[in-house]
Amino acid sequence: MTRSRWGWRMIEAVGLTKRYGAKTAVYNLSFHVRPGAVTGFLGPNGAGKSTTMRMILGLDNPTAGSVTVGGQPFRQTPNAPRQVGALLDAKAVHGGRSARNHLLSLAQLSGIPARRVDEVLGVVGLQEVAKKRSKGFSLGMGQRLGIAAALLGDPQVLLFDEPVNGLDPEGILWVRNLMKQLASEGRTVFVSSHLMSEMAVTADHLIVIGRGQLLSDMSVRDFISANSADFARVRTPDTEPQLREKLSAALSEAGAHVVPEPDGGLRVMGLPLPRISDLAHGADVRLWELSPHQASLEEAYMRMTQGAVDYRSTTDQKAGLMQQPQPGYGPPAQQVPDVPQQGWYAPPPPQPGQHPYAAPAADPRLPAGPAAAVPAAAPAPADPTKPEDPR
Amino acid sequence: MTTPYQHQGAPGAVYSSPIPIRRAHLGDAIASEWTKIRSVRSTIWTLSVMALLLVGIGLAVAAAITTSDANVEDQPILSLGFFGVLLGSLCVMTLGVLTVASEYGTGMIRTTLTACPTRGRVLTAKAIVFFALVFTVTLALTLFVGVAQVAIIDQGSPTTQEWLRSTLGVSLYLALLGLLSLAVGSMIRHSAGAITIMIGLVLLPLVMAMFMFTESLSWLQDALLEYSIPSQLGVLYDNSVTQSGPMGWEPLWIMLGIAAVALGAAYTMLNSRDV
Amino acid sequence: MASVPAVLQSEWTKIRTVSSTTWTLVSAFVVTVALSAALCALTKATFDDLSREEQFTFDPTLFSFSGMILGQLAMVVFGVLVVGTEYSSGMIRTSLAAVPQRATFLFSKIAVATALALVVGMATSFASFFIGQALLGEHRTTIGADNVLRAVIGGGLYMGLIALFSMAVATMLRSSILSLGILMPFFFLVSQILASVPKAKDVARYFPDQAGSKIMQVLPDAMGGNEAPYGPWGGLGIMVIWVVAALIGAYLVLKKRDA
Repeated sequence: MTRSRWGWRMIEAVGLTKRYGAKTAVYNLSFHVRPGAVTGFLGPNGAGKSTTMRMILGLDNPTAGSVTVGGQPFRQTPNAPRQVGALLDAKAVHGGRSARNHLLSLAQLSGIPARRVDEVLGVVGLQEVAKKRSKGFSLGMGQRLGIAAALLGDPQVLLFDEPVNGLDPEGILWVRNLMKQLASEGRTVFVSSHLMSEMAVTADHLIVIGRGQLLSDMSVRDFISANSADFARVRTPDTEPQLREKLSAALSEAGAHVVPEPDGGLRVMGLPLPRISDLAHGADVRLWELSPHQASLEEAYMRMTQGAVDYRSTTDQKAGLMQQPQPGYGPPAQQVPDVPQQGWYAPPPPQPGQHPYAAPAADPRLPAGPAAAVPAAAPAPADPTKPEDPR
Repeated sequence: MTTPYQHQGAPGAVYSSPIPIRRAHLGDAIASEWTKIRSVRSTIWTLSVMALLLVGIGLAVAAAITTSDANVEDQPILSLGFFGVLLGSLCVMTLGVLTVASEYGTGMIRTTLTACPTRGRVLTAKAIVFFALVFTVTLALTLFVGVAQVAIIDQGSPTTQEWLRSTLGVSLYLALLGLLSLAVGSMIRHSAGAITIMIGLVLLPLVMAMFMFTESLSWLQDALLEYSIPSQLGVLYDNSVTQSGPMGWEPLWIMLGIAAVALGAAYTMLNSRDV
Repeated sequence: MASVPAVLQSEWTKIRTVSSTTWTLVSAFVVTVALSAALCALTKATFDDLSREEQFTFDPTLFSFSGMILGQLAMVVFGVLVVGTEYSSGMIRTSLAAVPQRATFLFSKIAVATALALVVGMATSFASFFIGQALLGEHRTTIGADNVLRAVIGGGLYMGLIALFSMAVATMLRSSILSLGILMPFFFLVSQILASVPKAKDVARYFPDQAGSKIMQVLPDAMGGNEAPYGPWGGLGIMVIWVVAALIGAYLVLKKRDA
């Protein structure tokens, strides 16, 4: 491992690139992962997370660049399970073998005694089914078996690829606490996920990639402040729409960025709450609501990766089921005006049959006005390499 | 939705396991592969079917000969085991292919190579365990069948050479044939494809020879027949179809050469390919 | 209720989108044609060495099918994998959820795959024949000669039936490896070995491959081949009986067992 002014670098990737034929799965990815923290590895489906994980573990050879674990390429590790534990794919087991024999064969591979197998079976709660063939395991049980395999060698570095897939809520909580505990013991924990909400409560540090490229590499707290804006929500009496206009004008004049919300409220950015109240009072506008808000990690993530989503869902119009497409069918056209707001603020509530994040033309960069306001409202993005930054 | 987090990355506080770490070696991998091969049903099945074929056919042929009072003076008694072994070789080829290819089919190979990134060691361990298993099982079976046949037929006793070739020789040959299948399975990475290729390899010379009637081609036909896997096996039993071609222990060296080349190719491909 | 045309269409989509289909069918074609061509070329070059009797009974048609013994291996794999991958991938549960009428499902799948195998089999048979005859030069026969067209079409039918038989067996056994482990030795060793053992020959000639391949001979008992108590169509009929029996077994297994 390398010690630098940045601290220990247990996993270090430099210019990692992987091409499969004409498709570039990962491009020029450089990052490092430190011990004692849970590092989330985030990106939409197909962003290159698993490919990166496979390259870290020496399963795939990078087309260019290199990656080291503990200071050396993984394939030169003298006793890999004792140094690096990995959960790649819960189904990567021979279904005809029992859970215990599966773990035993892995333990023997690095000279780990058999009683350690029973220990980790206990840790993941699979003692009851240890003798059962893993073919009959549910996805959640498979994940637990994979985690047991990763823990087998009491390793310094742990890699988990989507560890909570298929787990029940109790299992998710268990994995979350397990990862935090492992990190608090001074281990390096590198977890990939496509769920920001999961990483928000688990990770200390975030590495976000999209289309195989690095989008962001910073702590969770920095990530939020860099990518989201505090704002105030203001509502004037519904009965008097002219008050809303009046307040909006007054706030804009004072330097705030004001955006109307679909339900008649206003989002105000760039002014503290007492100042908004004073301005409202000065303009003689009564308020029904004045509340502080902070954009969630999820929103920040959505905005960051919006340009980098490979598999974007479209509205299920069910036109494919129709014998002849009916023109009037599908989402009403008047939803469109709301759309530009998405990406700065909380996404609109899900419409029936419509994915909340997949409204057509949800690209925030299209309208000029609000886009220009973002840097004013939020601190400038810390990471200059971020290619998806709004213009 | 911000969440407080306690574990701020603390540089320097690197965890190290209280249990000392030693280097992993080939012995560990062999233990692991032994656990793997004995804990799947396909091993039990293929070896049981092989035992059934060797013993069943071997004893049935011997019994048929005694009851029909046929004269087998001109033919070594032990060669009666040939048909059983020929069919049993299919089981060995299947097991050899499955030992590696099933890891690819299930995805287990990624788990294995993550736990043992020294890929060559995994293949070596597999080859050693598989070879030892097949050799031991075949040796026990051929010995048993040989002793039983000599006892049933009771027409003189085979020479030591005959005994050695038809037990030790045949067992080594089958185990090497299995190694070849294992190497092919490792290169093809698909069970059905690799099994088909192995059966094709056994059949191709026979099929080609079957359609070579002409005189000027007879040398080629003879060569194809003599060097086909079934007749190599037959040579070990001393009832080769022809008088030229490989003799005595030669089939073993031929198969050793082929298996070594195939394993070498399998090593190269395993080390260079993405899993 | 899924209609039969819909199920047929879905099965066609499934079959043409997996790479094993292409691989196995291409191998069946290439192996048969290439090996037959090679053997025909060799035979032409050395024809004069044949004995007088062999020259008289020389069956150019059968020779141009010589590669089929190996090529049918790929057909067996095709048939087995078409069904076997449904089980190994767990796709069968999705399939039966979409088409709960198991008979409709099974026979649609088998019909589509057999049609494809027949088309490839016919193409293989005709290609093999014409290339082989071209290479045989003056010893060739023509498609218009007695019984030749029957043999060439028969070769295609034989390939299709082999694939169909394999599908039925794979449905009964529900595992690709197990099916291959039984079919391959059966077709390529047991049947061949028994056919050359004097007494067992009488039984072996009623095996599907031995009986069915009779249709590819233009001259009965050519080149010192076995005499058989049935003609070319009779042989194919015996093979069809085997196939039908296997299909009935497949249907019963699929109907009774949990997917």
